[in-house]
Amino acid sequence: MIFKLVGLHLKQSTGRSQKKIAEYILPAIFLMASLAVIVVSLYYSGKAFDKLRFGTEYITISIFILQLIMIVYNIVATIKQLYMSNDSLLFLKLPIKKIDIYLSKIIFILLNQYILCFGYLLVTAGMFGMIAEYGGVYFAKLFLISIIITAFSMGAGGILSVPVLYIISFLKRHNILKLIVIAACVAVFFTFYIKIMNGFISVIDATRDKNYLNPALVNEIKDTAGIFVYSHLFSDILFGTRPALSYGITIPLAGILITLSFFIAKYKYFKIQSEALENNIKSTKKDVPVLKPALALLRREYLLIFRSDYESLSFISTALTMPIMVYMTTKVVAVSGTADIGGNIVFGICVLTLAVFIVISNSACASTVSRDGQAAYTMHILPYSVKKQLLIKLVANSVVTVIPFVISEIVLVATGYLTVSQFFATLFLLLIFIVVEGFMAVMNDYKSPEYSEYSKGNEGGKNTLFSTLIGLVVAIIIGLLAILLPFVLSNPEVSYAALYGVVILYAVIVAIVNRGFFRRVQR
Amino acid sequence: MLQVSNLSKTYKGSDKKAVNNLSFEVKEGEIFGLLGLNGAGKSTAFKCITGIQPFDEGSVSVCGYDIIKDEMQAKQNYAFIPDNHAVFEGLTGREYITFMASVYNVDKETMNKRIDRFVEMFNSGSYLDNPIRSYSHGMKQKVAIMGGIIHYPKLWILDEPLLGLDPKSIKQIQTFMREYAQMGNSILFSSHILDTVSKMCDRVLIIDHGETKGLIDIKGKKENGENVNLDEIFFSLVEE
Repeated sequence: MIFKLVGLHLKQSTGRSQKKIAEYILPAIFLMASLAVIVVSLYYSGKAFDKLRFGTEYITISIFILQLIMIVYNIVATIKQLYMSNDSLLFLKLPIKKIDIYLSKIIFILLNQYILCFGYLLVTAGMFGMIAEYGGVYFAKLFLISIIITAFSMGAGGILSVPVLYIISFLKRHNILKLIVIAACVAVFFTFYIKIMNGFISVIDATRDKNYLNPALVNEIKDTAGIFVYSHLFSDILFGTRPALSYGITIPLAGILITLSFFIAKYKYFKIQSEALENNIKSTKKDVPVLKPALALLRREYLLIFRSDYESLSFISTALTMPIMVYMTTKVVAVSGTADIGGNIVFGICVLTLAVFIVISNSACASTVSRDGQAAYTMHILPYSVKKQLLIKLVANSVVTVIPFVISEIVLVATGYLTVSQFFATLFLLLIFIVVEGFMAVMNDYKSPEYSEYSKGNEGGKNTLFSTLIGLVVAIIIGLLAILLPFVLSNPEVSYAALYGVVILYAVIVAIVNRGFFRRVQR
Repeated sequence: MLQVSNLSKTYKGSDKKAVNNLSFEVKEGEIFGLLGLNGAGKSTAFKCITGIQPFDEGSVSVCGYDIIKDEMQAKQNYAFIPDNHAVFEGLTGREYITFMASVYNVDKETMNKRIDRFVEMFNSGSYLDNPIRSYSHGMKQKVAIMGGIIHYPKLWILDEPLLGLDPKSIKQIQTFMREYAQMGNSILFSSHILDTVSKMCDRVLIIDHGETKGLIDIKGKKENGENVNLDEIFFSLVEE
């Protein structure tokens, strides 16, 4: 029975329906973009660390990052699978033992954790082992440490998930605080991300043409690796140094933590299941303002977005990460690409990165009608023009793209990747792109909204997929033109004119496609 | 109050009319029932009448306003509660009602008075400030009603309003519907529960396969001392 349930959890998590794909496509694009940056950096930094004979430091820092990721992942997975999952209540109505459901969920989390751990070790320590040409024992030990790290992270994550659950329950009752905490978490994550990437970039940069580093950087790398005492034990295992200490600490510690976590999570899981039917929602009477119709519609749009965990996380993370991701991508490409291809590539990379992130961020427009669920009918019965209601939805969703886009542009100018004239040229170009892309997405969702009887908070998956794919094609065309044109045309104004031509052509096509339908939309 | 004339609607891809040449009038202060089996065309008729769906032929006027030509004035004069009781689940009950009040230009003082009245009527004070997604079926229906009629429209249209409700909620909503009609407003509602329609309605239009099968003046018959057996009438008309 336990393995049948594990199979069911796996099926649920890897369902390949159109909606599932659409649901995950944006985070996947986002993740792939981040991973691409990381893998390229890892390859170059791996080479650099090997050249400097900093293998221990490289492995120690990599494993520290892995442990952090895995503990966070495990906390999220434990809360999602054990404490906040509705399927347990469904299973409990069937002739299945509570302990079997619990064990199946634990095994499912464990499998996911192990795949994540081993995959990460392959691209970091594995890649490094290939660059440094280590033997078979090194790679065999990778299997061993992947098991120890999985057990350790699962134990630590499982124990920490209980206090985190209490914090989440508290935040769910305090919406503003919830948004602040989400923003803070995203900010902390990206601060850490920037720090790591900057470290890699400085090593790549410093070793590009020489085989030595300045002493200050050497000390900084050694000091950083020295702080991560526990992660250092894994590089000891891999390199065969201090075997008694490394095995003697890591294996028992992982064993103790995972055993403790098993019993703590089991106690909490059983308790939550028995309390599940109790309704503990607290009510506080709030003074709700009566507004002008347009403002009321705008307020409702934002309330619905920011009260949905899925939507608010997407909105805030996109808004916060766009400037950082645009800057980091441009920086990495500028470091590794400028010398090979030439400085002219930087402008094109800026445009391409901005356009791609605009499409990802603006995808919220593609589910704005679907998000209303079955209540979308109100759009047609309210004494307020449907066209204006659609316009309000476009404005509400596009603002979330426009603000981080403008900030990204300012960051690129401030860091010298764009000139002032390039700033203005791309600002208006991409603002037009945001409006056209948003309009296309809203109209598409209005034409064929997708909602089920029971709102899940992530409706409109097919429409999001469609609008995102179309947008990405146009973004790539704009980006490639921006990369190629400076090499062909000496006059930048002609390049700008060509880019505006593409965006205006896109606007005309979108207008023609939607013209008839928009005219028929009720006033 | 409501004038429906020769209303016809065919869905794309179908060769059958979902509503065929439907005509009726709802008078002031009247509770008017639209009765039919599942798939008879009641919901389609309501969607056309309220302007949610376009129709092919005919006309609809609410308080003298044509639903196509004078769309906004017509919409200002009715409230529609669909059969799925759909409301914005991310809002609280009070936020939903206030949102509807804002769009219908109801001032705050009037809105608060009406909310107090609704709370008393539906005994809903305990949950109005909770998120709608935590509500039961009946609670959602009551909040949908409160939000829908916060502007006290002349015409109130309800599609299967009592579907899936517990006896207490049914009683509360029926009582409120009667009081609302007694204030001079009109109610048009659909149902396939014959007993409810028979007790609640002044007149009933029976439809089948989108077509009118008969108009029964229940109130008139009762006033004339006639015994109205709606079951018998309904099945004789529908089975034909």
